[in-house]
Amino acid sequence: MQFNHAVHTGEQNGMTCDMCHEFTENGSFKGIPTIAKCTECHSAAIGSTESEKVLVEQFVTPHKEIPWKVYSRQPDNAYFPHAAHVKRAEIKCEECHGPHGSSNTLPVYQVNRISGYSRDIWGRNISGLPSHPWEGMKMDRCVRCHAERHRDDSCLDCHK
Amino acid sequence: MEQTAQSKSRYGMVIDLDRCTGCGVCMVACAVENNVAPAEQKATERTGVTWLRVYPVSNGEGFPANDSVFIPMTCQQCGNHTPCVSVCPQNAVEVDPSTGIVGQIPQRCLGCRYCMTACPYHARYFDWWDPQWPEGTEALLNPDVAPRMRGVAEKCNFCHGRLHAARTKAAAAGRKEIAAGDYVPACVESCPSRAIVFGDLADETNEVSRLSRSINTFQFLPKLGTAPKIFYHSAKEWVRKMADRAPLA
Amino acid sequence: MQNATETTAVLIAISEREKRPMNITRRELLTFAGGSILGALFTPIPWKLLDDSAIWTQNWSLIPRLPRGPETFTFTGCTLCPGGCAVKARRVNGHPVSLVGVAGHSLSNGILCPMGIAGHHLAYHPLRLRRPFAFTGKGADSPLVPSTLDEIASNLAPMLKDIRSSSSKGTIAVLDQRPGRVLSDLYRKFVSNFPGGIYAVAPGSEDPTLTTLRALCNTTEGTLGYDLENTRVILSFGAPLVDGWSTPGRTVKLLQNRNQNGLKLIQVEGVQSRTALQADTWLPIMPGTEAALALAIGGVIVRQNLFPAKIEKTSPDFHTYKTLVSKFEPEDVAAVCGIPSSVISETAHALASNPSVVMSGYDPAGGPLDSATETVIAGLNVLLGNIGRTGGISLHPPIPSPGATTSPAVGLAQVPDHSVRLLLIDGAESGHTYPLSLLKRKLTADGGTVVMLSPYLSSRSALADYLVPSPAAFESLEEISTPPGARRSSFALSLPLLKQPDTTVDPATLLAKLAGASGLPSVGAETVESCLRQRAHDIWLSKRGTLATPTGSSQTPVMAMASEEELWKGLSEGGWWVDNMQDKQVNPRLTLLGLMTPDRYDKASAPALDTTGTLKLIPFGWRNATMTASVAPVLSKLFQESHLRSLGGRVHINPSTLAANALSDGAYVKISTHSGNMTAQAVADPSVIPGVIHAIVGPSPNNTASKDRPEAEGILGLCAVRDDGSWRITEATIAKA
Repeated sequence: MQFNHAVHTGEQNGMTCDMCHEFTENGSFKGIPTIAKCTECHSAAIGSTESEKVLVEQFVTPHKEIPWKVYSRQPDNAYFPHAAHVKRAEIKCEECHGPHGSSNTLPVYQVNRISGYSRDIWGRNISGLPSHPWEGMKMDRCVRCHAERHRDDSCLDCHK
Repeated sequence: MEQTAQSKSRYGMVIDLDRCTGCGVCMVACAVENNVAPAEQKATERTGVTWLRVYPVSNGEGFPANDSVFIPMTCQQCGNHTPCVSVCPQNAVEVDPSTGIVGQIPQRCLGCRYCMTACPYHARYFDWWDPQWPEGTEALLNPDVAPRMRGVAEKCNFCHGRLHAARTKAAAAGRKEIAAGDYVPACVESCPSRAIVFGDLADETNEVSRLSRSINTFQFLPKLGTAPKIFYHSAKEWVRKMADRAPLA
Repeated sequence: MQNATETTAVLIAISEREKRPMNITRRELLTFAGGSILGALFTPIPWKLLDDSAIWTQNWSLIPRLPRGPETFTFTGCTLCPGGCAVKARRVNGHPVSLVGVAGHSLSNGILCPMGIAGHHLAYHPLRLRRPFAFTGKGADSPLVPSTLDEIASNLAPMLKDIRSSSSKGTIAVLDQRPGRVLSDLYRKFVSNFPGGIYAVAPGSEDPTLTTLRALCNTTEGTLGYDLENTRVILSFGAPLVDGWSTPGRTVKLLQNRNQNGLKLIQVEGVQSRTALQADTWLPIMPGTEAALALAIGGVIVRQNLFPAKIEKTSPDFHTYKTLVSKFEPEDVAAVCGIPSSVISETAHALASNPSVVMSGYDPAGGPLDSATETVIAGLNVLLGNIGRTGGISLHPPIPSPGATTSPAVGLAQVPDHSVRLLLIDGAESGHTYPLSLLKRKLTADGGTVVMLSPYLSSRSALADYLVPSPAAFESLEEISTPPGARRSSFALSLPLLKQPDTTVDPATLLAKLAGASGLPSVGAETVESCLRQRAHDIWLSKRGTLATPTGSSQTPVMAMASEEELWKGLSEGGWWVDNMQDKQVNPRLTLLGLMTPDRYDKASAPALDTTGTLKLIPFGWRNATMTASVAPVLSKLFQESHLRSLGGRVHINPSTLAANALSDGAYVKISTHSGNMTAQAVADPSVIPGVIHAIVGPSPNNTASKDRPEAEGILGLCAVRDDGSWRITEATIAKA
C-alpha cells in the first residue's frame, strides 16, 4: 500500500504536518497517526486509487493498525522531544525529515541488517556523508546542530 | 537559547532520618521507575542493583538501649571533584552544568568499575547479569528510561526520565523553565512519611534550601570535600556523629 | 651480446618461474594483510561495521525493548490487603507501567506500600497460576497435573451431594480470608445450604481487638472501628501501625503530624520494630507477659479511680475484674514483664486522662496473642469508657446490605476439629499467614478435600487437592470494602489494569459450578461484577453517604444522585463511597472479661524464662510479604539485594542469647520444638529481647521457589497451636546445626 503525502498536503487538501502528526496535551509526540486518524476522513473510500481501497478494506473497516515502518526510529536510549524542537526552537519539519510531506510516494524502507535500524539513520551513502541536508540522524548531527545554537549540553539531555 | 548563569539549577535533597521508617517503598519505586530488573538468582546484597538503598544502622548498644536509624543512600550528586567523573576513562559520567546532576550513561560505559571504587558512598552498582524480567513484564517497563545490558555501571540520575517529561511539558506550553511540581523523583513521590524533600538548592527560598541550612542537618563524609547535594537531618546526636565515619556498607 | 644474454637469462628465469607453483613469501603475505588493513581504515567499512555492531548490542534480545504507545492515567484501588489504598496508574498502550498513591484521597492520603507500588507485576510472578490444577496426592511433594473447572466440579459432585444429605462424615466449609465483601455473603449463603455448613474467617483477616470487643460488647449489629483521628493516646500491643496496619496512609499521616495533633503512641513490643522506633514511648516487654502488663495498668486505673464512674455500675463483671487486678501490682509485674512500675503507672494515667485507644495487633506471621491476653487488652477500652466515645472505639453502621444472610461466621480456631470434609479456601489474601497445622486439624482424619482458590502457588497450597486460579492482582473487577479499624464504612471498586487470562476463574463462577454439581439452585450471582452491582444498588437505595472522586476534588451525596447508574459510573472512574450515617448506640452493659474466668490469669504473673535453656520461638512477618508468591520479583531490592528486610529462614536473636548458647552471628542453627526441627541462619540482632528467637517468615530468594510444588512452610511448621487458635510463642531450643 502506498501513501501519497502530496495528495494530502498539496493544494487540493492543504493539510499541514501537525494535522496528522500530532502532539498530546502533556507535550509528547504521537508520531505516525493511528488508524483512527485515517478513519476521520477515510471511513469510506473518497478517492479512486488502489492504495486507498486497500486502506479502507484491510485496515479502516476492521479497525486494524497499519504496521508502518519508521525511518526515523532511534534506539531506546535516545531521548528526542519533539515539543522542545518544534514548539520552542521552532524548527521546521523539513529540516530533519526532508521534503517528505510533498512526496508522492513513500521511499522504500531499507533496514540495516546489523543494527536493525532504518538505513536512513546512517544515510544512503556508505561513507556517511549526506547527499541531502536532511539525510542521516546519527548523534553527531544532533550535537552539531546543538553546538550551532549554543546549547550548553549534557549527556542526560538527550539520553534516557 | 543561551543558558545564563541565573538559569543554572542545583538539584538536591534533604532526607529526614527521623521520619524515615525504613519501609523500603522508595527502593521499589526507584526500581520500577528506572527499569531495574529483579535480582538474578545468585544475586546478593553485594551484587544486587539498588540505585537507592536504605541501610539499617544501629547505635551499637545492647537491648533495650539499642537504637536504630534507616539511612536512604543514593548517589550523593557530588559537586566538587566528583570522584566517579574524575576517574571514568570513557567519559560515561559527567556533571550537567545546568542542573548539577551527575549523569551516568550506561551505554557508554565499558565496565571497568573504576567509578565504583572511587565512589566513597558505595552508591554505584554494576550489572553483573543481563536484566531478567519475568515473562510478560517487558510491556510494563517505563518507556522513559533505557534498559541496560550486562557489564555496565549504573546509578541514580535523579530520575532523568521525569526531568525529561517535565521539560517536554514545559516546552509544549512554550515555557523554558519547568514547573517545580512537575519534576518529582520516584523516591520522593512514594515516601509515605515525606522524609525526602527534593528541589533546586540554587533557589534560596524553597523548602529544600532552607532545610539544607537548618540545624541538625548534615552531610555524609564531609571531610572528603565531595560537596554532596544530598543532606540528611536527624535530631539524634549519634546519627549525626556517624556521618563522618567510614561508609555504611 | 651481453645484453642479449642477460635478457635471455631473465626470460628463462621468468619462464622457469612460471612453471613452478605460486610461491608467495611470508613477507608478501604480511605486507598484503597489513596493507589491506591500513587501506581498509580509509574506507567506510570498518567504521560502519563498528558503529552498526555497537547499535546491534543495544538492541539484541538480551535486553528488553521499551514499550511505545499513548500514555494514559487511570484510577483504581489496590486489593493486595484489606487496607484498600487508592491507586493512580500510569499506563502506556493500556499497560500499567507505574502505580502511585492518589494525593488528596481521604482514606489513603496518597500513600502506597512497597507491595502496592509493584502490584502491577504480580500477575506475571513466576509462581502465578494460570489454569486449574489437581494434586496427584496429598502432601507438598505430590506433583500437579493440569485440570479444568468442569473436571474439578464433576470430581467433587458425589461428595457435595453426599454432604448435602448428611454431615455425619464431615461437612463443607469455606475459609474466607477477606470477610466483609459482598462475595463473602455469597459464601455464607452457599454453605448454609449444607447441614452443618461452616463459614469461617481466616486468622488475621479482622482486627483482633475489635473482634474481641465485639464479644465483650455483645454486639451483633454495627461495625467497630478506631476513632484515631480524634484520639490522643494509642497504647499498641505490637500492632504494626507504621509497617502494615489497615490503610498505611491513615496511620502514617496521623503519626507524622504529631506536632500538630498531639497524638502519642506507646508501643509495647519485645523487639524494637519500625513502629517501636517511631513511637513516642517504647515499652520493651518480655513476650508472653502482655496480660500481666494489661492487668497491672487496669489495676492502677481501678485503684486510683481513673475510670468513668458509670463503668462500675454498668459492667456486670466489674468486681470480678477488680479482684483480679488487685493481684497485679505494678512492682510485681515489673519484674515479670521488664517494664518499670513507674512507667506502668504513667501509661495508666496517660490513657485515663486523654481520649485513648488500646489495641493489639496480629503479627502477620505470629498471629494473635492468646485469647486471655487479647481479652484483657480489649477490656482496657471498656474500663476506660472508650467504647462509643469520640477518640475511642466507634460503633458505626455497616455497608448497607439488606439481602445479607445472617448465618453465623466463626473464626478458624473455633471450627470443631476434624469436622470439615470439603474445604474451599477463598483466594483474596489478608496479608497474614498461619500454620498449616491450624488448618489441617479442622479437616477430617483422612485429610479431607481442599479446593484452594488462589492466583499463586504459595506455601498454603500444600494442603490443597485442587488449585483453582482466581484472577491475579489488578486483573479483574474487585471490591474494596471497609478497611479493618476504619472509622466509617466505605466502598470502592478495584478496576482492572491488565487483561485476565481466559483460564482464570471468577470466584462467583466457581461457586455457581459447585452449586450446580451439588444439585443446588443457583447461589444468586454468577460473577463478582454482578455482586458488586448489587452492592452499589443497595447503597444507592439507602441514600446514605457521599461519593468522592479519587483526588477528593468533588463529592456528591448519594441522595443527590438521580440514578443508580450515576453511582456506578462514579465508582467505575475510581470514586470512593464513604458512609455518613450516625453511629449506633453502644450496649451499655459491657463486660471487662467476657468469657474469661480469673483463673485463666494465674500463670500471667509467672516469672519470665531465663536466657539459657528454653527459648521463646516467635514468628515474625511483614504484612503481604510472608510468602514468596505474595511479593513481586522486583521486591528483591528489599530482601536479597540489600539488608533492609530479612528473607524467610533467618532468625534474629539477641547477641547475649547467642553467646549463652555458644553460637555466633551468621551461624546455622538447629531449632527444635515439640513439633519438629529445622535449620535456619542466625542473625545477631540487639533490637530483639534476650531469650527470644525472632523467626522471620518471609519470601525465599527469587527464582529458587519451585513452580511445581508449593514451597515449604518453614518455621510455622514448628509452632505449637493452642486450643484458642494462637501460635505466637512456642518453646524451643537451639543448637549449632
